[in-house]
Amino acid sequence: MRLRAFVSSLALAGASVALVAPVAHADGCTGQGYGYTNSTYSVSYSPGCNTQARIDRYYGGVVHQYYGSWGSTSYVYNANGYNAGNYFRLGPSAWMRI
Amino acid sequence: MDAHLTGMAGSFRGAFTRGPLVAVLGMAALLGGCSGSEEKAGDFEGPYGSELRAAYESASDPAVRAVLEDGRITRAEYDAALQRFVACAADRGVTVTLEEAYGLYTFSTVGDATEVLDACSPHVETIAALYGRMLTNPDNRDMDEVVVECLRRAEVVSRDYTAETWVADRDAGTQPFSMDAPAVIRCLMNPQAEG
Repeated sequence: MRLRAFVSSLALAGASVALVAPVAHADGCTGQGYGYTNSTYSVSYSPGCNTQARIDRYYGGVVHQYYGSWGSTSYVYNANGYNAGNYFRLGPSAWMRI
Repeated sequence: MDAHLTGMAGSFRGAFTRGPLVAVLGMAALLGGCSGSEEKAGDFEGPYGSELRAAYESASDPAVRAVLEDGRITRAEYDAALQRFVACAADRGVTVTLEEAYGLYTFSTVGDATEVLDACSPHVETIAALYGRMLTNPDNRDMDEVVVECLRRAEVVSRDYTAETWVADRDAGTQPFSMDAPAVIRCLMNPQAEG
């Protein structure tokens, strides 16, 4: 990953939040972002960023990757198979697992 | 009429009542009717004017510059950018499946395609991200405020639930509603979409 952001995680009520340090150097972002996830959805938000949410699910013997729309707020959901990881896109080629 | 998003604010609530296809068509019609077709090209005005100008000036991809040079992004240009993305991935052996949700595209791949998608993203992300922001937050306001207003309209939260409360609840995982609820998903994906 090109970027490494400070991350703190909370795990409450079956969901977790990852607070991401300001990523203004990534692609014009203007503020602090966050990722929010549980086993079936991933949300990412960074004001002014070309952020994306991603969720990886295994089924049929292979991983399927689901990506949210580009934008300040991105949400993606899938319940097929089992969760293989949720991700928060910080910038070009920079994904952080949340 | 070619629907487009510019830096100008516009209201298009009420377009999302009968499924994604109708939602997109309704949104396109409403957008086209309120976004100022008489506006001069390249003005870079309105709530997103500075972002559009900055994106145009920093874009190295001629296709991206061509889209942004008139200071607006049409629905057709957004669609075309996503199709370029799909074609770029296909050229590298990856099938990208697009799906529309609340007026925006999400997508999926079979297998780990991260490297290919990262390589193809520069052809689409600037256009898609700006289009998405203008669609979901046309006045370029604080997004937490916009999301909470949507949650109030959907009666997910009470009238006195504030953006400050939402931020605190979100960061602590203590929000008084399920994040899986359809209305919550809609408000997060596109607060302008009606339930």
